[in-house]
Amino acid sequence: MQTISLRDVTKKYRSLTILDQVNLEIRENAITGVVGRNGAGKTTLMKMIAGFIKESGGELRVFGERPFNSLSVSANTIFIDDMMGFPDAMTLGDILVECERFYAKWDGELAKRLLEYFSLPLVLKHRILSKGKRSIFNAVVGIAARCPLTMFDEPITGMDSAARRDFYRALLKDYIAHPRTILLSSHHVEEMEDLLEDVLLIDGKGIGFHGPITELQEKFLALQGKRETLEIYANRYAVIHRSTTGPLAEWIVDNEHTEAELVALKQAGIRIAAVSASDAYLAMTGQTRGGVDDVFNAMERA
Amino acid sequence: MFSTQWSVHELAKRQFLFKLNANGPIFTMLILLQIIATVFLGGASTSGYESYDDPFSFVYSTVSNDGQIGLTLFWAFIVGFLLTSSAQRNESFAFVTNRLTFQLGNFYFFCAAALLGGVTTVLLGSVMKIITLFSDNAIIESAGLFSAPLDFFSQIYAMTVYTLLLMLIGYTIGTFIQLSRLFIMLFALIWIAVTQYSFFMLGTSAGELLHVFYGETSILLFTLKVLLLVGILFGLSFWVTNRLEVRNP
Amino acid sequence: MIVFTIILPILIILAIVTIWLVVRSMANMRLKKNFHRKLVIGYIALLFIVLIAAEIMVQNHDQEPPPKAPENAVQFDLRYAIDQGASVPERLVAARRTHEVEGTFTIPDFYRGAYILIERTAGESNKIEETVYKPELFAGNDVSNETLYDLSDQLQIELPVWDSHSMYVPKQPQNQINYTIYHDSNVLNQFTDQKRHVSGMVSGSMHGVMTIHLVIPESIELDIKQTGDGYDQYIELL
Repeated sequence: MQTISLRDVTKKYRSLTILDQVNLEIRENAITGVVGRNGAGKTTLMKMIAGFIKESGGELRVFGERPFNSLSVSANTIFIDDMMGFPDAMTLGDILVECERFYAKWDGELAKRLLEYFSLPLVLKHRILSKGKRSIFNAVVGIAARCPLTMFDEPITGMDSAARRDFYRALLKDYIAHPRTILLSSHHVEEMEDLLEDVLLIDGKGIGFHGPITELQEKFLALQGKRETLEIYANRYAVIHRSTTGPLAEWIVDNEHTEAELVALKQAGIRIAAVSASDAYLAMTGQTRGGVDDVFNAMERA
Repeated sequence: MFSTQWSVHELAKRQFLFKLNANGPIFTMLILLQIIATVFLGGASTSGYESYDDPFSFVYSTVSNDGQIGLTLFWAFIVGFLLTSSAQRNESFAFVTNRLTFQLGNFYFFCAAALLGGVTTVLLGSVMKIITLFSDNAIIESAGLFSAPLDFFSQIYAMTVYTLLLMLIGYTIGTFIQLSRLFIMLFALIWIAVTQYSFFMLGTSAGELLHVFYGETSILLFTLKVLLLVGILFGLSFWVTNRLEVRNP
Repeated sequence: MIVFTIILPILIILAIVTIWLVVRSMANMRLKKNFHRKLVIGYIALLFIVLIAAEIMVQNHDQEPPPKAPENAVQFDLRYAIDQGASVPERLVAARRTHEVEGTFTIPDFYRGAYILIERTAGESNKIEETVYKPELFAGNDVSNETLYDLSDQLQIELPVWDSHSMYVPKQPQNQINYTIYHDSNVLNQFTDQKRHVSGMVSGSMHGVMTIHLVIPESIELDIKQTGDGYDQYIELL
């Protein structure tokens, strides 16, 4: 059962192309992490799915319907971001009352308890909340709305680490009790690794990777050893990332080895380890050569 | 496929209730303006004739609720304009809606606000009547609720309709300006053209346009004309709203 | 004109900004959402009380409105009618008297209070015919002049005093008339029988004083100080 399906979906702002010919299927009742570098088009994709903005081309279907101007899609979808506007005149309590008006499966009791836990009094106005508190409130609304399609765009902006941990925990618990399709975008892959089932990586106007998180990890191997040893034995692999920690160097390479090669590497004293999802993500989006250091090095040479 | 299904009507109603809850200050503003009109313009709106010429002195003053009406209509235009702000749009789209229910919710809100404006303005006439009665030799030339109930309700009707029209005009102009700031230029040009044209060229062409409504004495024909104009304004603003991308800075 | 084209939009924009700021700051105030609802309900309730109060006060307002002005009364020009010898409506006549005069006839100085028209007739006689006309005052707010109020009755006059060779105009009573009229705004009266209003229409006799028409035979010699065109003294020889 597919909740979201995109066929050759393109989004352009005048001459600027944000997403180009994207094909994608998101399955029902799974938590998908939407990752990608700044400006890759994560937010644009989710806003299109929510029906806020219109696709420039292709076929976009959410619950089998085109989301732009679809009342049914809107009723079954909630999109949470830190720009969420609530009326200035309303207190948090007032906003919860409005949520109850609009979301059929709204759990007011849960929302109140969560806000109490995060020490957000209902008499406060949304406008005066700090950035972190506002993110917490919006996230609580997103969890308690229990929409069949729930999207969080950078929900943890401004939250401290305890709040982030609690948010992920609350989301997971409520998701297990009330399964739904969740899209979660964040730059902190390492924090949500345990939560995600699928990963959707958006890179260069299109899909870089989409599949179970374990599949993403299996795409790479981490080779650890003395730098000299690595340079002798592992040079023929496509090195995606090099880092040095203490006396040992770590190279992340594509996972395309035969058994014999692995044995050879091990005999040379190189440790072979699985990569974390976050490293895999960095490897896929992070630049294979150098990074920002190269910019400064290049300037020094010039 | 969908676990929750709303009808357009039901959602427009809920959006309307949400608008009412969210925009309390707009109504407080109306009350404030009407009090200002009554306190400050109430005394000043007495126009009249004065002659002090010994041994004869004659003062003839006129009191009416023109001031309250002016400020209420002014408020109406601005409310229409304010409801097109992106903040208002984002608030609505934070909850369940599509562009049609959003527009309908706004329209219901305008109807409710216009009714409040119409009723309060006509009722404020009573305040002016009492002020008049405290002066010497008061003459009340007015349809009271008891003496001419039909006239009284027709006054509320006329005021409500004019308030609604001004809200929709403000809303339509605001919607176009939201679409593109270039429309500010266009509206400015239209404004200058209309005023210059009517003053120098045809004398009263703008006046004649107003006269289509203002000069109509048949309630039925007036209502038909108003419905037509409301339809045009609603259609124009919806044509823009329906393609608006929301929550998109 | 320029004011209308340029100043008005600027005022509107300023007002929009002001109202927007006020609405925003109201939203930021520590007002409960219910505050606005309660305020609106309270305001409407108050206005209904005021409405009932006003209705009762108007019904108990024992002052009858002044009579409507008679037809064509506003257009009627008394001086012109006298000059042309046309008929003057009887309601305007305050007194018709005949006085016998010996020798020279004088009118001592008076300060306003009357407007005197002197008509000389041929013939030998010592009789002066005097007709005193009441001043008129009409006021109203009607476009069509159809429903002007006739306030003439409120103007008090003191008739001239005669002796055998002169006519005194006594000091006239102070006529201080104040009227306040309430009418609903024209915007509201589109479907009512009420006439649309314009700002105050006032018409009537000059300075609210009586007009004295004297018919004096040629044989009576006049000793009347007349400066300039006679306007200063309110005396005119026809």
